Amino acid sequence: MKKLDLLDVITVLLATLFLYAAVNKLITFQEFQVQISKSPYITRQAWWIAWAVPSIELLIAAALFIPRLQLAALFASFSLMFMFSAYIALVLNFSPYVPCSCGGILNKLGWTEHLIFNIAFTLLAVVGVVFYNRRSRRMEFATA
Amino acid sequence: MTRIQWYILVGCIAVCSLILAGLYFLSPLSQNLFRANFDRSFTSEDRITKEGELDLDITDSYLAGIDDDLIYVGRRSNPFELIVADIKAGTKKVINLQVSDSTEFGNVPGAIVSVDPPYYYIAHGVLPRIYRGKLGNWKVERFMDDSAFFVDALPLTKNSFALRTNNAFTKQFELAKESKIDSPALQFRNGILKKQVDGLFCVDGSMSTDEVSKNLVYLYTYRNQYMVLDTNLHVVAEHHTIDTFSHAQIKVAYVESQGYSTLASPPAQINIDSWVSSNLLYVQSNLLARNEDQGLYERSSTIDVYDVTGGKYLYSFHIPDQHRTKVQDFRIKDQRLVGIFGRYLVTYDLGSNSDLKKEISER
Repeated sequence: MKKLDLLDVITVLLATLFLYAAVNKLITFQEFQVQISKSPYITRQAWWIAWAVPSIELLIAAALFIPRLQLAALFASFSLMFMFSAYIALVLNFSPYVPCSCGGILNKLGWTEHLIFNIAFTLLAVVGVVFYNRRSRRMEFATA
Repeated sequence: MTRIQWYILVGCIAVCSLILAGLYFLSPLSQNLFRANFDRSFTSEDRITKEGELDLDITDSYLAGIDDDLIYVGRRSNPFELIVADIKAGTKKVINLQVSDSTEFGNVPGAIVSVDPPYYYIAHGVLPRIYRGKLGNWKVERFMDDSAFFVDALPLTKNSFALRTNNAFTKQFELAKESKIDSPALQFRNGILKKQVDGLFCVDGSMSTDEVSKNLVYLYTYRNQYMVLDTNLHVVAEHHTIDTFSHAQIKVAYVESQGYSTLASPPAQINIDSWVSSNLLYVQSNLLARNEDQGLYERSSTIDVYDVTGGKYLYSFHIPDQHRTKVQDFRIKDQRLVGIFGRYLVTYDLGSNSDLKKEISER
């Protein structure tokens, strides 16, 4: 019987976050596009970022469950969450405008709370790689 | 983690940082501050003197009105709390206003207090309601029987209000006069606000009344024009500000799923705020002039002064940031500027207008 270990927990958490965020953006797509074009940082890139971000989120969510792609998906999750975290930190410190365009309950978070939330998930992805290594080693052991 | 994985992690951070840096350089934030194509006539800095300062201890205040040496300050989070400040004495007093249906107000934010001695008003554009009381008696009575919705309102005469409100027929914001003694009580003055983009955002502006001439001045936010109106809200004159932006450069999007319009990109804001006093219009401008020191501009707010009777530009001066904050709300009375800078209420002596004009003309 397969035991659920922490890697599975992390995988599900990350995939759920990305799926929830992506779907939220896609079902209110026009609003999402308008909201992100208010940010001076990305106002000129809003036309392609609006499509790219939810698409990448969905791809990563799917890849997290495909064994051969799982490690890559964990690094991709880290990268994406790192960029989200850095973007919030930059907007809070350097931008005259602070629009919110996250969707769903994430909208209700204050900016500082959202930054902490993003940093937590960034670190979660790294922890996921650590547990991935542990599982690989255990499986090596088991087949030895 | 294996060594290779560490390298991949660092590589990810590097690539992400490059992308973020790329976005920054492609964005308007990395561009030099825009310098406009006109010159200003600055008065010498020592003409404007700071008189006094008071710590209000709150961060959501706005100016409700001035009555000689008393400055009335309202709170956005609590419309029933009115602060009376005496900067000369350095004191402040908090007054609790009493309204019969305060529970209704409490649930919907947006009530604004205006002081027009000897009266004061509480106006709410969404409920809608306008109440009036006499200064000294802090219990208000319902003023307008059948209030109209509004986005902005200002006491016009002792018996009327000037409103900026949405007109369902013309499908844009219009000015209207709501009067207690006229019939009908609400009279639209359609066509004064001229639509350029959407009729809502593009006609945005600030209103103020002149305590001497009793005229109302409406200054557009996104274009270089202002109108002078009489107490019947009819246009007396239209003038231009010294910049050259006659067309609102804004992008408005209508979000169908949620049913609202909003600005779809950071707007080119020309004017921030204004106030008229003794036939002089003071405009807090958002533009850096060609001959203006950028460092000084960034550390202060630039005010341009116009003679309302002829529309002529007179001179400009800077109001320095106080406690690292720009002036957020200001009014002028008797050549004294009262401003709110974050938590602080600060007053400036602007000197005499004729002296300032003389200084400029003698250059």
